[in-house]
Amino acid sequence: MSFFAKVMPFAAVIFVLFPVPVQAAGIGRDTARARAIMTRVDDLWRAESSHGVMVMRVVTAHYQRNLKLEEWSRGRDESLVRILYPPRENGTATLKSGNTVYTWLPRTDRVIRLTSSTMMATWMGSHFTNDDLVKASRLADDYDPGIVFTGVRHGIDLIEIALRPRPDAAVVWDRILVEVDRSRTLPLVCRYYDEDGQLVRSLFFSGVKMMDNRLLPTVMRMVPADKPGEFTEIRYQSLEFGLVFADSFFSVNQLRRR
Amino acid sequence: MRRLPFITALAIKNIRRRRQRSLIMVAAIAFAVFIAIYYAALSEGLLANTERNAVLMESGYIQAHLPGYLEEHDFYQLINDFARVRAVAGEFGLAAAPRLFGFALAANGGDSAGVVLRGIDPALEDRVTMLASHLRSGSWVDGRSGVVLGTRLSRKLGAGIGDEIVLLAQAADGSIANDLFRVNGILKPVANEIDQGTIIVSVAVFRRFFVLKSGVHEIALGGRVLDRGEVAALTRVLAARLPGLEVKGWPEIAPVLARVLDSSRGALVVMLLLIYAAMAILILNAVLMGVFERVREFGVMRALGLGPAALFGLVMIENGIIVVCGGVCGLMVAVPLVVYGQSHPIDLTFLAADASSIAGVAIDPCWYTSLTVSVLAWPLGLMAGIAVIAAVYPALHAAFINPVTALGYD
Repeated sequence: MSFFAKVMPFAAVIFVLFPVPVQAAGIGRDTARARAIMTRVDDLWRAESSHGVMVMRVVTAHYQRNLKLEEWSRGRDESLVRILYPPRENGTATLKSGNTVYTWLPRTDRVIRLTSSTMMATWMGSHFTNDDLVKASRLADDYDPGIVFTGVRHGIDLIEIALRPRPDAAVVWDRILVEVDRSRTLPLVCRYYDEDGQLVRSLFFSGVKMMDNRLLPTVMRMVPADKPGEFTEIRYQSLEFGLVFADSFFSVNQLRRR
Repeated sequence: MRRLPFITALAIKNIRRRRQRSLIMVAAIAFAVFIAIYYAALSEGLLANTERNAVLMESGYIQAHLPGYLEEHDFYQLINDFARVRAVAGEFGLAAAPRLFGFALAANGGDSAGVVLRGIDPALEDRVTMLASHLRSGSWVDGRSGVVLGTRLSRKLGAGIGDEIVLLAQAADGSIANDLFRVNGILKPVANEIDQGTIIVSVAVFRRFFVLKSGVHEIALGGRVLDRGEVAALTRVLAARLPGLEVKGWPEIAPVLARVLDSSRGALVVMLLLIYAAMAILILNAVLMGVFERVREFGVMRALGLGPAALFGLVMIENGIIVVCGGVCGLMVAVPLVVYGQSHPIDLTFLAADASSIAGVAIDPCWYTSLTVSVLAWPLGLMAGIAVIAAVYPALHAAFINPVTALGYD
């Protein structure tokens, strides 16, 4: 079923949760500093809670796709994403609760729990996988950060942090390199490498703007290394933080509500 | 040589003179031949059934894909001129069936599983494979939303006939394909891939679900019985006639299975040799006894002017007649039983309710025999060879008897 991963899409996830990792235990000044930076970066899009609207553009060799999504999140483990556009898929929603992902399909009025075999499948036909969604909250547990470069590169004063999987972690990536803008502590790019040391994909951050009193990149572009010309771009249209949700909000019942 | 009729007459006389021993020999050889033929027919039946399951239930004899599709399973590697392939195949008396494959998540209640959705044209598929007649229950796919599930998949999803299952996938245009499908039928065990994770739908349903207007992933060719040689020859010819397509025979598509079947057939010959090794010792013993018993007789014959060649021939012919009688008796018992077994299988369902498998291909728990030339040729040919070899030593012994000592032998 390895090729399974190739062709599957699924409903929504929360973009807010894709970006990088967080605190990871470690020793040494560099590790502590790297961890502090990563925590700062990771918390950019995340507060106790968030709510936003974003558009996603997917370009592949075979199709182009434009979606409008609305997302809600609370903490690290709970999120809900709903498709607003196109009309054909309007209402389709994805709930992430802990390590479990549920999808609700209005057309069939069924809630489906995604199985492990579909975790590496593409998310909504984009260049993200369902695994990205679930693993986002576990990167902190699975990887150790370390600073590998400090200085000016392509005209920007930046810090590069390498994330290495912990020895006992079952992870997809062998190494993740994160470039962070030093002055503003904002991420520039994440590069994902497989166990052969091959670059698999890059996630670029741009469009730095103020949103609900936070300065953050509002555009994220995922570019697969082996498919020239293909990418997925996500652009936040609005983002607000610090909302209060009822406990039932992130539940399967809520998922079914249009 | 001119003494051959005389020696043959003598041999027949000798056989009739020792009627009891001759009959025991004939019976033993008949039994061995019977066992060998029946065993060969059962093995061949099993192997042929496995081959049939693989070819007629799944692959077809020959397949055409775009180059690389078999390795990559890229959804967008589509053959766009099915009609032309079908026309070319038709020139060689072959039927062609289009197939489409797409990955999906199937769910029923709380259970879900990753599956391969297989789009087929029921009418055309029926001329290439016999999958439609291999249903355990329910009915075959129709042009509407009815689907057919592999047996283990139906158990995994807890889905029975009439149940509605949800399928979720990425459509060709990147959108989220999802729909409800009704379970029309459930297959008997065919092969691991089909049993565990395949859902069969009509091409029309597949196209609607995956938003795929045209093209097919695979074209299966078949429609008449082909042996391995014919498959290889046709594959070559079709490959030349269909440039731009990768044309492969089933032994190339399922190389593991082809090798397992080949080596199983080889193992059969080894098994026969083992059975016959015991027979060879029995024959050697019996013929040797017959020679020792008649040392004086042979001495007299030598003294009367028969040469060593004549005596050698006498023993060989005596033995040969007995072996031929035994072989014919064995055949007369075995062939009717094998013919009967072709339509009346040994039912092993009580041993294994569900089929086990060879190289991923299900074995039918009903064990049929198969009557082919090799099923008869190998047991009979080996028997003849071994009987001759086993009799050589006693015959030589008789040939080189010393008449002087032999006449004094008691």
